[in-house]
Amino acid sequence: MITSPGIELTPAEQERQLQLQMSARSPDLMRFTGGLWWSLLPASSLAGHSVGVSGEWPDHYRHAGASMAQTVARVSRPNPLLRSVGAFDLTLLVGAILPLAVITLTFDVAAADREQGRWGLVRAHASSLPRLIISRCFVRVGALALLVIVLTASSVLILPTGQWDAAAVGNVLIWGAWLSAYMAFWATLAILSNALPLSASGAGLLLLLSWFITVIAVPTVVERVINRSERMSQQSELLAFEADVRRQSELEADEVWAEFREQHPEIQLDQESPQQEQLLRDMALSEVIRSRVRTRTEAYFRRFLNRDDVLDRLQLLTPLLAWRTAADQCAGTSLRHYVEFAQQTAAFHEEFLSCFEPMSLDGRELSLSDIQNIPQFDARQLQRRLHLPPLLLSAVSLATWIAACGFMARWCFRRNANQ
Amino acid sequence: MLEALELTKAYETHVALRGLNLHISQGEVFCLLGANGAGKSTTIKLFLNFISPTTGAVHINGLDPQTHPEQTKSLLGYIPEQVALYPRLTGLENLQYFASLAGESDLCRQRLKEVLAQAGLPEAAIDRRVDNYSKGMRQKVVIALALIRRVRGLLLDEPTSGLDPQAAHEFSKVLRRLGDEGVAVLMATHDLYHARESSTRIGIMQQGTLIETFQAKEVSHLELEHRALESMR
Repeated sequence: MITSPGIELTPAEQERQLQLQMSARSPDLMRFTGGLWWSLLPASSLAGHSVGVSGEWPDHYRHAGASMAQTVARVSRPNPLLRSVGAFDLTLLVGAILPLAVITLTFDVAAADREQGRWGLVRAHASSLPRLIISRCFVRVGALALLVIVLTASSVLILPTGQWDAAAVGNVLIWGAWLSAYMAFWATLAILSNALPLSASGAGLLLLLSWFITVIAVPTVVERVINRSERMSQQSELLAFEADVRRQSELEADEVWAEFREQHPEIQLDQESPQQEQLLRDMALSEVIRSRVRTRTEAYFRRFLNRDDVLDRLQLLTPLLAWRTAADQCAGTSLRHYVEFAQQTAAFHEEFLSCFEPMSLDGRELSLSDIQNIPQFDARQLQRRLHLPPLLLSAVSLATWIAACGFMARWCFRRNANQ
Repeated sequence: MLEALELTKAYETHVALRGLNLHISQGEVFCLLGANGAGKSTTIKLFLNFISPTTGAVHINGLDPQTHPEQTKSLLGYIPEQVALYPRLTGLENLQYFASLAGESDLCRQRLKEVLAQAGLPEAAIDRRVDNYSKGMRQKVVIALALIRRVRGLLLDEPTSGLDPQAAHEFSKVLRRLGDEGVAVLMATHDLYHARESSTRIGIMQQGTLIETFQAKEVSHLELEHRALESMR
């Protein structure tokens, strides 16, 4: 049996599992016991922090007998972090709320001195005004970023999903680097607003407007555009398609059976056992259904990948999308990760079902070694991996935004050098 | 040390300074007198590089602040009319912070205390928060800053306004001492009495023009008052 930590079977399921393990002798019985085989993707150390994404993120599949669509349909399983702290999304928190903290800390770096009459004294003594404003902004934002990184790294240890291994350390380091870059963007924006001869309220309003555009307006427009052009595939579509195929195939059951007989002339039917013929007819039919659904499933995965590709390109529009992309990569909760895991599961599902076919065709009972040889997804699954292209594009986006704000701040410093 | 050559500053609506020529040597305390709007503060702002001249040039120890902002800043101290410090910091902490802004970050506490005492700040006030300080005490913190930085030029914009007679007198003494130590001082003021007491040379400005300069000791208090009032007509 495939068992993994984190999946809790109900007492009834455990009972059934035990009974099957102890007494199953029929390959068909094993094959159609949907719900007792699982494909599991172990949670990445940061997966718990991307609840906004992973709320929809299937980290396991329940193999549903012969149905591919039901197998790759998402199974709702409460995220451990979501279960313990309620609706919480660190990616959103960092992306949307942390910039507000940065704005609060930096909006009056220069304006407070201006408004409290110290500006003349500060300007007369600071060896370089730009350097002073830059260091004030970066010290404040740097302290904040460091605090968030330390708290996040610590929480990886505390959370139920957390585990410290080399991959986790690497992910946390990359996550920290991207968080620093995202914070650096906000610090540079704060420097730009402080380079302008604005009052504290003026600088604050400018930063809040930038926050609204970066965090709310542009991502909302992007989402609307992408929902129109690259609509998210729905599980129900796949299930409905499979039901249609099943219905259609059942109407063609005789043709399918004839074709099967042609392909397997070696099978001798026992005229005294109508169950054997029925069993083989079912097997032939489900083979045809699987083949037709496979094509549709691949198209279904392709739509996710297309959507992710478009999202990757659009992350250049706002640093928030760049940050979310990087966070999803580190947490292993991007659509690309979802598709990879679903594809692995689908391939396993095929293999799992096909392992029973020879036994069914032979008409023999399962032996202990047969049960032990049932394919186990756990034994072969791949770890979540980082996808470099979206991560690099995210870095390019953040670097571009930082550079743009930096150049504008430099220009403003030069233009307002005497103010 | 402080030099203005044909210095002019024009705004859209008026000309604040017209062709000012001025040379203040080391050890000289130069007072600029004149009515409001005569161009005294504009002159100081030009030396500090807070504003750019329309024509002409400013030199500080031979350097143009426009092309050498950091070097010229390191040579100058500045005391504005309203000395605003960080109210939640003590006098010592303010001195430490402003000194670090100017690149003097490795000063020990004892040295800072000594300089504050040298500037005339009472010892009991050194570790008190600045929001309890009088204007005179805040000025002393800024004077301590000039002392600790060993500036070669000091620019003061109406420093004695709002000071009580005792504080103004002490302030004049400090200025004279700085002059004796070789600091070139340029002070804009309305305080005729202390201008004569603390300066070596006096200039009178009228509508952006320096109309006359003379040695402070050449004129009596009465004559100085007469000349200043004449310039305001």
